[in-house]
Amino acid sequence: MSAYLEPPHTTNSFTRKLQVFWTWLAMILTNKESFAAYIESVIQLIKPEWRYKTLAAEVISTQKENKNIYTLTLKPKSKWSTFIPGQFVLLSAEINGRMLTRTFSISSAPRDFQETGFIEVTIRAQDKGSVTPWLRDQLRPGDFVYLSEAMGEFCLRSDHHKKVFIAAGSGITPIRSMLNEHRDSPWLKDAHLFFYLKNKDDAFFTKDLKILQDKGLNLHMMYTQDAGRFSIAQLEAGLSKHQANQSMTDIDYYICGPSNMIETTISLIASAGVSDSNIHFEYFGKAPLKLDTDTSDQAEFIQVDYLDSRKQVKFTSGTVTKTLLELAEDEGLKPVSGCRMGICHQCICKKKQGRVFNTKTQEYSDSGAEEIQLCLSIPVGDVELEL
Amino acid sequence: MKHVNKDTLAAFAEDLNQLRDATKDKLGSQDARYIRKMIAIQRISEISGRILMVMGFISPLLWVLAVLLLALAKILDNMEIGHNVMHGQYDWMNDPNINSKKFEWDILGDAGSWKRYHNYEHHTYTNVIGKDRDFGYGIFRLSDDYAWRPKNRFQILHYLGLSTFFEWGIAYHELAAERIFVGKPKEHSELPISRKQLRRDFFSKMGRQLFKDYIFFPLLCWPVAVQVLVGNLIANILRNLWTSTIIFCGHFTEEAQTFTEDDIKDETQGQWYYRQILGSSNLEGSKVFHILTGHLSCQIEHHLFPDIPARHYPEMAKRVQEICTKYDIPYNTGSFFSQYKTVVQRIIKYSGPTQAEAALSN
Repeated sequence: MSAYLEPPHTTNSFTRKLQVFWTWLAMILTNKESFAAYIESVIQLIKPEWRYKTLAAEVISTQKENKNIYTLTLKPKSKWSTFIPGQFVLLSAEINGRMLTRTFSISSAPRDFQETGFIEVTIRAQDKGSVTPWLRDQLRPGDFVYLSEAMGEFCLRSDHHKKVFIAAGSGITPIRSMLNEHRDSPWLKDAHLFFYLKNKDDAFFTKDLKILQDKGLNLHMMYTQDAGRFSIAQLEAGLSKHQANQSMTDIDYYICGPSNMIETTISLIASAGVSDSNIHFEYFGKAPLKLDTDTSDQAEFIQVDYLDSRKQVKFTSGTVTKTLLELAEDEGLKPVSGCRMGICHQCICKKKQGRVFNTKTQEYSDSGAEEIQLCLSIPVGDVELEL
Repeated sequence: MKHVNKDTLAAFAEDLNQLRDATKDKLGSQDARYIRKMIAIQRISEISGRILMVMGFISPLLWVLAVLLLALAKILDNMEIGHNVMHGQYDWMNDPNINSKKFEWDILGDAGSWKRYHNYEHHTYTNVIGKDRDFGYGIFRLSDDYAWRPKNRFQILHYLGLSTFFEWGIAYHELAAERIFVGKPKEHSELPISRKQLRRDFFSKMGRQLFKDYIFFPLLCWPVAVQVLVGNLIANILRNLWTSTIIFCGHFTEEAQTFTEDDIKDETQGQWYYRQILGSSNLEGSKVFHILTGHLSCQIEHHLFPDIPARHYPEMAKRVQEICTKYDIPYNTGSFFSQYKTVVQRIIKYSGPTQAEAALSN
């Protein structure tokens, strides 16, 4: 589901009481949780992009970066606060009547946002995805998408260590934000960026990186086709190119890329003696995509999280044949249920993320947040339920 | 129930499933726009109705218009919007406000309670005697499945009463079945919430509705409190009469059949479809008429495909009728007046004992 805003923060108890009264009155008079929710569709007659509790952002442009990667320039509505370099947003779009949500890092810098009011998200189009190719192909300037406030903790530490950034593919996006924000900071001259790409044709952000390089960033374009994947030897060679006998341990490492790249890179760096507190990373490529039917075999275990009940259950992949309703009941939970055949819609529940197989339509769900019928849904990957 | 061979019904089900899948493929932004537009129309008629209600002192005609607008708003909210949204017809939109879990409607009955007995009991066991309490609502004798009792003599009057206060019937339906206030509690209750919760939800929703229409708005418009109160009451009654009339036409027409629990044992999908068709009847009319009935004018299609957005039913009805003709399965449709006439006739017909019963008592 699309991004909810936090309720306005009030310290004044009279204001708070007034809000409670207002909500109560809305419930009595409209049977809706607020007057805004009641009036939403009327406002949409005039402003189709308006949505209750949701922030719209106008599409300014779509720019191709390489054959798969593109950048969306967005102008969030003025209520959208701001962000810290490295953070991500939940981006929702109404795709053929249906609200779908994905997570993307912001690739531009806050200082540019202050100046222009624009932010950029850089996205890899997933071949079989239902969102990422659509955003690229269907959005036109003037269209609207929806944004959450920025979140995430993959941000620069304020210590005075040297900084080494290791990015693979679209994992460059949060790092580009960090570097651009600090393009005039003195530390840039001591910082290194190792940017892994398959080959030269895949290169993108070259203009930006060139500017950063001119300002002193030590840039290492790493083409895995020739140089192979990340290794400590490469790191040492890169670091000593500009300064001999550079110690590897008093450096902060910022790593972002596909999950297998992150895992190997972390373990290599850690075994070279770097302490965990100096390694910062963010799993990328969590971005959900539609896969073929037997994806359940990819991970050894799948986990069902019942968020509201604070329960987690693990299953061996491929062995789950029960529906989420039955699984929840096995755990002693009592979700409201009815016909158990998909007709009565009483057991409908918000899935925050994860893919399920619908036994009625014989279809795999989208992996983003949506309402599902528990009695029809069999988990095929890690699933989080608001239950 | 006329027996139809299993293989025929399997082929029949296959045809209907094809129609269902083809329609599902068509769902998209047009449906989202449609339901939002419908909600906008509902809001505008409700707000303008409530405002005009106060203007009654300028001209009584304005007051009449206001009552009609408010009744229209309630009808749209209950039928084309509420009923259909709560069937999950728009859940695929993934909209936080337009979905079956969240929706609450402008009627006395609590949405959760209605979903339990309507979506499950009524839609699964349509017209099965002893299972579907919507068949006659425990008040009417509409077939020989029930023995005649002297009180049935007056059932046409009961019908007029229920029709006028239909929303109370809807609100109380589940509580009656669970014997919350009177009678011994059911031994094998499948109620998924506690009895206390059921009672609480009932009173809470009823309280809110009564407060809104009969206390809050009249007081807000104090100098004209009486005309607002009376206007709201009439709007509610108009809605009650309309919804009950349409709903009675759905399952109690002359041709609408009843079933026994044996009929539904090990039912295949084809048999289920077949029973839904035999137990339901359609009304023909214009586009506006279909919308005002919440497309329950296409009761047959609604029972076959309860979670497909109702605006597709008239189109699907043409194909369903062709499929029924192909398999020689009766398809009950007619104009509103001809169908409604048979409903009234049926209520009157069964208000007397059967010949055998009459002979016995003599």
